[in-house]
Amino acid sequence: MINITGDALIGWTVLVVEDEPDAAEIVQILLMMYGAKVEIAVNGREGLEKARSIKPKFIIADLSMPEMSGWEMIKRMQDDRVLASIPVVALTAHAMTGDREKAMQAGFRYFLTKPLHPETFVNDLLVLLRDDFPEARLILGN
Amino acid sequence: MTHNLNTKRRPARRFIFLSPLITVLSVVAIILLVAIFLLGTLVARQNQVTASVFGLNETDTARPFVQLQRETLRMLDVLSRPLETLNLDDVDLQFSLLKSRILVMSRPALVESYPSEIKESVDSVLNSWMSIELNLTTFLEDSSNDELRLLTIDQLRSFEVLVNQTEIGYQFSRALGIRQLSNNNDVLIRALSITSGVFLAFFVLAVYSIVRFLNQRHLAEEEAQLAMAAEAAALQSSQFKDQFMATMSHELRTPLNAIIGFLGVLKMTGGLTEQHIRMVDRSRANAERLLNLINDILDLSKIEAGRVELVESKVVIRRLINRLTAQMEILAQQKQLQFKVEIDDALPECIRVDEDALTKIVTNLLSNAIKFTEKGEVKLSLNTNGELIRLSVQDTGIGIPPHLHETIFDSFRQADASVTRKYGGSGLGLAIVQRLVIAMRGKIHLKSSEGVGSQFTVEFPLVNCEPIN
Repeated sequence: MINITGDALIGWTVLVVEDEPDAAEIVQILLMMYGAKVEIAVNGREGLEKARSIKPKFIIADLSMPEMSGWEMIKRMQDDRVLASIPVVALTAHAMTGDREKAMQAGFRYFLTKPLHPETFVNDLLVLLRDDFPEARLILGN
Repeated sequence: MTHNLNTKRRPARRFIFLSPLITVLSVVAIILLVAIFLLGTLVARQNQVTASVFGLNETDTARPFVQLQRETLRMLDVLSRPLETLNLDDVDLQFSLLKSRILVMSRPALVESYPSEIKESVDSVLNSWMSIELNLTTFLEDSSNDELRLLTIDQLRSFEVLVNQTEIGYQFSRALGIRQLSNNNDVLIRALSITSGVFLAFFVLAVYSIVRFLNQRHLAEEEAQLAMAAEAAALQSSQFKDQFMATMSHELRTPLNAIIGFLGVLKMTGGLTEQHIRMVDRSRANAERLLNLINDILDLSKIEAGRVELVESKVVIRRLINRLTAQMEILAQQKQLQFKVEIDDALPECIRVDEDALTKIVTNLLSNAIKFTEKGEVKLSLNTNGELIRLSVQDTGIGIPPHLHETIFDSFRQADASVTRKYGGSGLGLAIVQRLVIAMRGKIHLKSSEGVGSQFTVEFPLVNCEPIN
């Protein structure tokens, strides 16, 4: 049972694309704590399908995944008229030098590295996505 | 990840190497041509000399003067017999023989082949013969003219001397010719052997050049193949290292990330007792310490191996600092420290910088400051003079003794071994910071006094996002 600790994400649907169940669950729980409805996809292909069907407010995606990586997924989203407008934040433990720049060029809104900080994670996300969602209320202030 | 492999191509130098050889070869070839030409000339001249010595047909020229002399002597013998034994038939026969010999000797083709030295002498023989022929013809018609017979005998005697002289001249000039022929032969043989030598040299050099050329091409190919193999091996080795680093860092971080994440979520879900919360915090602190250690080791090993290449990107500096300090503020609050962030208004909205490097510098310096400060404040300030960005982290912590100001940036170095036990940490943070600052073409300064606090100041070039026109 998850206690709601905030209401910043009530009414938001968020898609988490992550092949590691533990990592996916942590993100899911944190988002749900702020009222979000969370869907999980285990690779880029499933991510594209679910993005089309549920039309999430934003997507959090791992980069290295089997079958279809986050890189390939963002590339296909950029070419899709409907999906191109959905902000995608990359979340990866596999951060090599130059990945951030590459990720931004590939079309990710932002690039976060694991481990995520549970206390500040949702706030960080909203700060990063402030340009996309100016109406969102921040949890910790500016 | 860059591979600074030396892929410079060698210039095609084998032709330069071979060119002296080709020069020598050309010279030898020219000498060879000249030698063959001279040899041909010599052979032609020799043929001429041979023709003049032996005549056109050797059987025809076989001693015409000796035979003439012999027939002359026989005629003298026949004609000089006492009158009672003198046989006119014998005289007639001998006369015919003599005439035929003269005929042979005076054949135009044969006369042509006589050496010039004896031509005069042959002419006088023929002249003298004309008178003898007339006298003998007259005598055969009137054999009683004994006076004519005696005159003719005298004439034949001097004729015989003349023929003999001609024969001697002929022999002499022949001997001269043969000597010349033999001399010429010596020259010819010498020329032939020289030419053969030159030809042999040419042949050997040509073969050597071809072999050397092929060999060098073969060597060059082999060298190129070796170089390519070495390049490929180096690339593979470096790619293997990169791949290994990437995989290991991923495999180490993933389970730790899950532990840290779940511990954080566990605490946030609530319903835990104070004791539970304390144990969760301790578990998480330890897991984070382990993760930081792993990250530091991987970072430093990459930096030390020269494998870090900074990638500048557009960074909204205030946003980045806000994000980084939000996490640090929580740590500071846990220790009841005042936490201040001062950003100069002169600082541009957007700068070009390696975000990962800047993040590591800020978080390392701030977490150090918070770690070593028990009370008071930790302050991060950023300002600029238009050319440099100055980032300063100031604390009111334990400070660093002056004698350690130099070594504090070395790997695995903390102010004191007891510090490690008390405060934890890998001791790699400042080493990483210093190396990253250097990579950013910046500088780091330390100002510290024991018991008062420390101030680390990092200066690095300011690069605006929009190029200034």
